Amino acid sequence: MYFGKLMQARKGIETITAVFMLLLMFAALTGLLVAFYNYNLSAKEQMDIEHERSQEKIELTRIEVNEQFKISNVVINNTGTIDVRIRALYEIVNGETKLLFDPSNYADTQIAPAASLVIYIPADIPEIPFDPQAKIVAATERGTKTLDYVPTLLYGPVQPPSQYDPTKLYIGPLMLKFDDFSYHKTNINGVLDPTDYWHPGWVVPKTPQYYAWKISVMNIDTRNITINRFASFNLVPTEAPSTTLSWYLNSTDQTTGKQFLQVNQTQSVTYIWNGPLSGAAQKMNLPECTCSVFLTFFGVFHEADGTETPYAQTIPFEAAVTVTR
Amino acid sequence: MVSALKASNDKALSPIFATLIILAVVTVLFIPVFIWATGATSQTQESWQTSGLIATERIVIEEVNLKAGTASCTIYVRNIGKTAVSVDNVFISLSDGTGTMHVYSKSGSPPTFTTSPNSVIQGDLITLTFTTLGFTPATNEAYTVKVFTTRGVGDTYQVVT
Repeated sequence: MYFGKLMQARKGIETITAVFMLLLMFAALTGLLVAFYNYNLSAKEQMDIEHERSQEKIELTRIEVNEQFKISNVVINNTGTIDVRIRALYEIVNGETKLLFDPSNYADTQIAPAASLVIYIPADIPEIPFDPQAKIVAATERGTKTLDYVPTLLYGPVQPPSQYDPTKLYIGPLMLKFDDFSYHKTNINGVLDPTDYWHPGWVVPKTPQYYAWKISVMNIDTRNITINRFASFNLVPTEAPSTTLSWYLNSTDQTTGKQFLQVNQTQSVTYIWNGPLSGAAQKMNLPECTCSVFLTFFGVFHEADGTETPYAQTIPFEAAVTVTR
Repeated sequence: MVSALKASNDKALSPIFATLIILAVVTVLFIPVFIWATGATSQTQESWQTSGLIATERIVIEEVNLKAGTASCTIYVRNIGKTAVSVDNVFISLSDGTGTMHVYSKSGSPPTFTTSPNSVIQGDLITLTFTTLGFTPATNEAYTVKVFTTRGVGDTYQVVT
């Protein structure tokens, strides 16, 4: 009897089923639409990130050093069209990359377009000594990077001479005497071997392993120059340019590591050390090869008014050194 | 008379009872259908949600400290996407395609590198430290370093030793 009554109300089943079906369709479609909308939103956000990155550009413009020749600050320009935030500074020395610090932990490092920011090295960060072979890298929070060499940032790029005279073999204030180039055996401590003499430097044997190099330069500027301990003599194998070997200045003044070069005077410059005033001779560990030679000088000009201005020069030696057995 | 009253009472109560019972039966029958239908759509939803997460996941390898003759390595990776990321896999190989591809996994047993921190949000840096690479990088070689997150988003970096 009850079944019969139930069957009498079957018209209600259709209505309820329809309502449930509607609910089901609405729930499923809403879920799908929300998920699809979120996906589209995510895709758009990612496109925005890429668009912002494409507008971002920064440039390291200058570094400054303190009296101890430690880097005291770094200047970065925003040359892009969007605000940037500097989030990391790295130093690359001899192929080793080191994260120095995150500048945004110490100050607001946001830079507006066309503006620049001076980032001071915090006191709790290990000191960063000036290294002429080091590179500095700055990175933003969007992953844009800039890289430059420390000497370039400190002394500025090497400028071409304003009046180039092809009859004179120099670029810059120091003129190299090309015919005076020699090597001498030393011991591991850089002491010249008393039984040896200065040999022409164009071809050197691979052994013995410790050498001093001597060149002669003439100060043809109008100002006296003092070069410092970072001046180096660099052998660059033509087959493997990244294995550059550097000998550092054996200065005439051993206490300061400096050498004075008077105007219009020719002086010998000797290179012995494996680091600036390291006290250890550089080891010749190159295989048999032919090398290009580069001389780098760092120091100061002595101006007429008694002040000093930074000086740096690179001399690409127009010669090759051959290392033989 | 009594029987007539009973008959009239039965007729008065049965439509309400019948409707309630039908409602209950239909609801009970609809539950598995609803579960099945929402389950089927939720897979699609999850797929889109994951795609959305991956779309906003983006990392860049900022620097790699890989030096010739040194069998350790440090990789600096920045999260530049909206999604928080964790790094799971690193591949290092010679760029010219020769030699072995060295595969490192943080979730492997034992893990072959460590990350600090484990997960980073947008703009932050994650440092991957390899105490031993299992090989010594050669001099004057170009190596390709690939880093992948747990969702498979990656970046590539080339370093010359």
